[in-house]
Amino acid sequence: MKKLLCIAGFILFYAMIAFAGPMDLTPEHPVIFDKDKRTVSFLAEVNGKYLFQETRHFAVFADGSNGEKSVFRGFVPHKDFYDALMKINAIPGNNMTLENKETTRVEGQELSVSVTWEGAKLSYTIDEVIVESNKAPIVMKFGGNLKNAMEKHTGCLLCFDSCPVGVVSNSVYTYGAIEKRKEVSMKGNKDILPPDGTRVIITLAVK
Amino acid sequence: MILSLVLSHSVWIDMRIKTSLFLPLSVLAWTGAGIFLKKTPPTLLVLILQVGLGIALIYTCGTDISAWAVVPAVLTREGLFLKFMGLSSINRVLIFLFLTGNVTLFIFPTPLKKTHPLD
Repeated sequence: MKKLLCIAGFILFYAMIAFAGPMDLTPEHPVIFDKDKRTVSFLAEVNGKYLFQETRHFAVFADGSNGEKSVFRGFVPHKDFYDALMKINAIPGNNMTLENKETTRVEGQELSVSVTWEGAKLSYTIDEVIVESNKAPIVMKFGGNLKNAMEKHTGCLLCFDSCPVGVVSNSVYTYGAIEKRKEVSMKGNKDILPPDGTRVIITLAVK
Repeated sequence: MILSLVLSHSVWIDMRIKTSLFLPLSVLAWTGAGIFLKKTPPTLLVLILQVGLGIALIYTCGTDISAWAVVPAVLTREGLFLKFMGLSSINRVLIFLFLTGNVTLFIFPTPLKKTHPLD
């Protein structure tokens, strides 16, 4: 009888994992991927400060050194995020270095990014949840950069300009476009995003 | 708070240093100075700082009241390591401390000054 219960328990556990959707994400299990649909979803929460102030970070792992500097505090560590993207066979660009960052645009698999949360009317695109001063569409690419990400431990998951450290970044601008050259500014869209601390699901899909 | 607000308004600085850490530093400095000098802060200085805070808020948040309700509270939560508190609770504490401080300093200053006979 005990054996039967154990087997039933295992089946139930794996069935729950197999059928888990993005809405089942928790801080303990903050990332999920779907190899067939080629999507990665992770749990994050809104940082209210960047609905009103500019930043160059879309999402950063909360325990990274840049954890409080992004529109979304991610619960997923950068290594796990990178691994999840590799598991859906996304191709990293790995063309950014600390030396060429200001003259090079990030390459790699192009990804569409969407955000949703409990009570949201729909899943919003990155262009809807972010106020981009030039109104140019954001083009996120899987830069990779695992070595730099692990060395710097900034926690950067998605950056708004081409980045040699962030796992995914926006190929429209080269590094320095936001902070140094002021070519563009970005912040969260307070008219769409929920208040500070609201948990959201961010989904990346291979284009 | 004035320093934190003004510095965090620069993206370049905000992305490089934790501007909110000026909060615990200034709390320590003011408390230390108060204990060491055995004095309450001069009312004129407090008034100037309050006007400065108002200007800093307008400079960083504009006239958007929702920004006023979020940015100082986020800086306070980060600087004083109050991650367990929501922004509305932090705002309530800040308003309470602001009002209590002003009432103590400007409306009922006598009991505090009596403790310092050298003043």
